[in-house]
Amino acid sequence: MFKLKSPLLIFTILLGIIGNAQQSENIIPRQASTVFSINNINLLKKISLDDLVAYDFMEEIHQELFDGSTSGKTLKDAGLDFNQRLNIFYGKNKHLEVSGFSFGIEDKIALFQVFDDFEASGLIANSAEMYSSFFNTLIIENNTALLVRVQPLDQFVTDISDSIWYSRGNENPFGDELNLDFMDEPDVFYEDDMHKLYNSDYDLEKNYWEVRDSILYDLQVKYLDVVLNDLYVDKISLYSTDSRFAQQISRNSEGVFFLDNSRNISNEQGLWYFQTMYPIMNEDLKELYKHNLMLGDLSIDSNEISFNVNANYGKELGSIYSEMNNNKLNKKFLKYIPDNSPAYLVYNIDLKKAYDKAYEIVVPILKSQKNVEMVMNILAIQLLDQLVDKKSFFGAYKGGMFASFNGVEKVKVNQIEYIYDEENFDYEEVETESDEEIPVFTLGFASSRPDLFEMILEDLSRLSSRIKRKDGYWIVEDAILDATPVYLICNKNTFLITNNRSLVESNINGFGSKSLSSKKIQRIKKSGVLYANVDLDEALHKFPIDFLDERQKRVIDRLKGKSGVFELTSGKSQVDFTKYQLSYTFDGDSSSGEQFLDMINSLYIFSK
Amino acid sequence: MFSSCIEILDDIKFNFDGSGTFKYTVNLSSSQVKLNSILALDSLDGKKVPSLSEIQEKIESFGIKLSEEEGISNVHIDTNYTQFIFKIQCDFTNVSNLQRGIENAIQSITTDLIKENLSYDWITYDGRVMIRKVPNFESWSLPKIKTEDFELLKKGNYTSITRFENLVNSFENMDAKLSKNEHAVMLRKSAFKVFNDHTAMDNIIYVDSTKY
Repeated sequence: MFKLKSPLLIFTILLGIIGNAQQSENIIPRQASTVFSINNINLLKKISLDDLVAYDFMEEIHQELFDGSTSGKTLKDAGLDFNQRLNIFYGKNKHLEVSGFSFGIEDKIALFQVFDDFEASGLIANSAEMYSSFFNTLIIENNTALLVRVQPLDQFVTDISDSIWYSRGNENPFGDELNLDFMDEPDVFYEDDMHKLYNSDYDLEKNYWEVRDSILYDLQVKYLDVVLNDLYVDKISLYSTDSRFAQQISRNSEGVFFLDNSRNISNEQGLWYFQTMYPIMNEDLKELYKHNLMLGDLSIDSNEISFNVNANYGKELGSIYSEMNNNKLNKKFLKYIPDNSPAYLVYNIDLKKAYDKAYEIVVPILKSQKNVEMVMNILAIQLLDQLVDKKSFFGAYKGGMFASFNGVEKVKVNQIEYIYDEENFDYEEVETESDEEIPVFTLGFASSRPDLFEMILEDLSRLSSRIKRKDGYWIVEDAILDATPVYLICNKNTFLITNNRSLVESNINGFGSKSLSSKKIQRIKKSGVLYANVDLDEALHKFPIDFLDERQKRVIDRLKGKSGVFELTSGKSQVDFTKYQLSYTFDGDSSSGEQFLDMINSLYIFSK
Repeated sequence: MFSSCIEILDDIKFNFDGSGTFKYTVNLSSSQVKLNSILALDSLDGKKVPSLSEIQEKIESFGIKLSEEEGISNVHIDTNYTQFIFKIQCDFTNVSNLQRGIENAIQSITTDLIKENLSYDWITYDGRVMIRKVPNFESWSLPKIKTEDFELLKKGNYTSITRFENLVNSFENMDAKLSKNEHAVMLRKSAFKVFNDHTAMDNIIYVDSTKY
C-alpha cells in the first residue's frame, strides 16, 4: 500500500510544482497600472512566429528588448518560450515610473546571444539572476524573465535636489547672472558656467547637477530594489495584490488588457495644483474614481476579431454616466447620414441630465470644504445654477452628436500657367482651373436653439464677407484649405456643419429614402451611448493619404485589399460598468490571425 | 488623391557687357490645396511645419541679404501666399557676382547647406560663350526626395530661358530650342529629370559678338 502511495504522492507533488511554476504574468510589478498581455499559445496557433515577428509593433518590441545592438535577430532567435504570455506593462506613482516586459524563456543561451549588452550583477533571494544594461534590468528566474526599467519621476528628483541644494545655503542655480540656455544645459553648462555654481574657487562641494545626478542614481537603485524585492523576495506582484487583474489575465482570449484608471487619475500631473491646494477635497473626489478600471479581451473567431472592454466605475460616477448615456436615440440625426456613407458615428448623450446628477453628487463633496476660496467658488456655482436658465443653456447644445464621412468630391481650383511667345520666349501668366478631390464630411449637434446660431452667424457675417446667408443655410467661402466652402444649417433640432454640397442643394431636410436603412438604424438603436461603423474598403479607398508617411501608406495599401467592417458598439450604462465592443468582421481568404495582427499593426502605426 | 505639381522658371538676360537681369519663379499654384493642408499641420513626417509668417520672414530676409551683395541691384521679391507663387528678380553686374550673391543670401537663411562648398560657378559668360554646368548635388546634405513625391515632380516642369542682346549662333543641348528672333534659348525638362540628373540642364550657348 505504501509502495503504491509513494509514486502517487510523488506524481501529485510534481503536478503541484508544475502547476505552480511561476508564469510570466506573476512577475508584473504591483506598480503597473496598464498591462497588455498576449496569449501566445492561442495566437500562435493562428499565425506563425515568422509572420508575427515581421510586424512593425513587434519590431519596436525587438528594439526595446535589444536596444538596437542585435539587428537582424528576432524574437524567435532570442530563446523566448512562446507557450507563455508576453506581457507589456507600464505604471506610475508619485515617485517613480515603471515599464517593461515579462515573458517566458526556453533557451537561456540563445537569449544572451541576443541580449548581449547585459552583464550579470548578482542574485536576488538566491534564486533570481539579475543582469543589467545601461537603462534596463533583466531578471531570470527558472523559466521566466522580466525586463524592467524603473525611473524616478523628474519632478520628484528635482524637489529633493532643490531641497538639499538650498539647505546648504546656495543660491538659485538658474539665477539671472548665469544666462543659461535651458535647452543646451547641461552640456553648455559644464563647458561655460560650471564655475558659477561653486561658492568659491576652492569649493569642494558638488555643484547642482552633480547633486541631482547623485540623487537620481540613488533613487534609481532604491526603487529598483523596492520593485524587485516585492517580486522576488516577498512574492508580491500585481497578480497577487489585485484580484481583478488575476481574474482578467486568466482569461483564455488571444489578448487581455488591464487599465487601472483610478491610479492613473491620482497620479495625473495636471492635477498637481488641485491635489496640493485642496488635499482633502482631492481625497474625497478620488473616492469617485476609486473603482475606475478598464478590462478588455481580444478574441479571434473564424471571420471576426473583437475587442471587448468593460469600463468599470463606482456607483456615484455610475449614476452620472447612467443619466448621461441611457437616452433614446436622436432620430433627427439619422436622416442626415446617407446609407452609402463609408464611415459614420453617433454619440447619444444628454448633458442636462449629466449636469443635474453631477450637481447632486459633487456639490455636497465640495461643500464639505471650509477653505475660503473653495467656499466662494461653491457659492458662485450654486448661484449660477439658480440664476442661469439651464433649459435654454442645455437646449443650445444637448451633447448628442453625429459625424459621417461621405467619400470625396471634386472641387475646382484656380491655378496659374504660363504661355510663351515663340518669337522671343516672353511669357505671360494665365489662370486656369483644375480639379482637386476633397473628402466630404458632415457633423451634426443636437440643439433646440437654432435661433442662437442664426444670431451668431448674422453678426459674424457683418465682420467677414466670406460668411453669407443662403436659402436655408449659411456658407463660409473657402473655409477648407482656402479652396472649398463649409455650409452651416440651423435646423429646429440639429445644427449641421458640412462641406457636402449635395446635402445643402438637394437634401437639406435629410436624405429621405437614401438615408440609413432600417437594418442599420436598428443596430444603432441597440447600441447604447456610442456607435460607429467603418466600411474598410470604401473608407480606405477614399481616405486622403497624402499626409501619411511611407509606413502608414503601406499600411493603408495593405488594408485596401481587405474587405470588412469595423463596428463600435456600447451597452447600456449600468450602475457600475458600461460595456464596449469593437469588432472587425471580414470576408476574404486570409486567416483570422493575420487579419488580427494587421489590425493591431495598423492601430499601432497610426497611433505613433 | 491631390493632383499637384511644381513649376520652376529661371530666366536670365545678358547684356553686351556681361551685366544682366535674373528672374526666378517658383509656381506651386496647382499644389495650393495640398500646401494649405500641410500648413495647417504642426508637423509632417516628424518634421515641424513652418508657419506662413516664418516662411515670409525667410523670404524677406533672403531679399534683404541679396540686395546687400556686391554687384546686385534692383532686387524685387513678389510673393502670392494664396496661390503660392514666388518670384525673385534682380540686376547684376556680372554673372559671378550674381551667383556669389545668391549663395550668400541662401546661406544666411538656412544652415542646411552651410557645410557645402557653393562657391562654384554654375554659369559663366565671356561675351562669346555661355556655359551652364550644374554641379553634382547628390553628395550635398539636402533632404531626400521621397518616393511618393516622384510623381509630383514628374508632373512639374523646370524651364530655363537664357536671353542675349547678341544673336545666338548655336548651342549644344539638343533638347533646347531657339526663339524666332534668335536672341533666346529655352530648355525645358520635367522637375523629376532635373532633380535626378544634374546634367539635364547643362548647356553651352555660342553667341555672335559681332552681330546684334
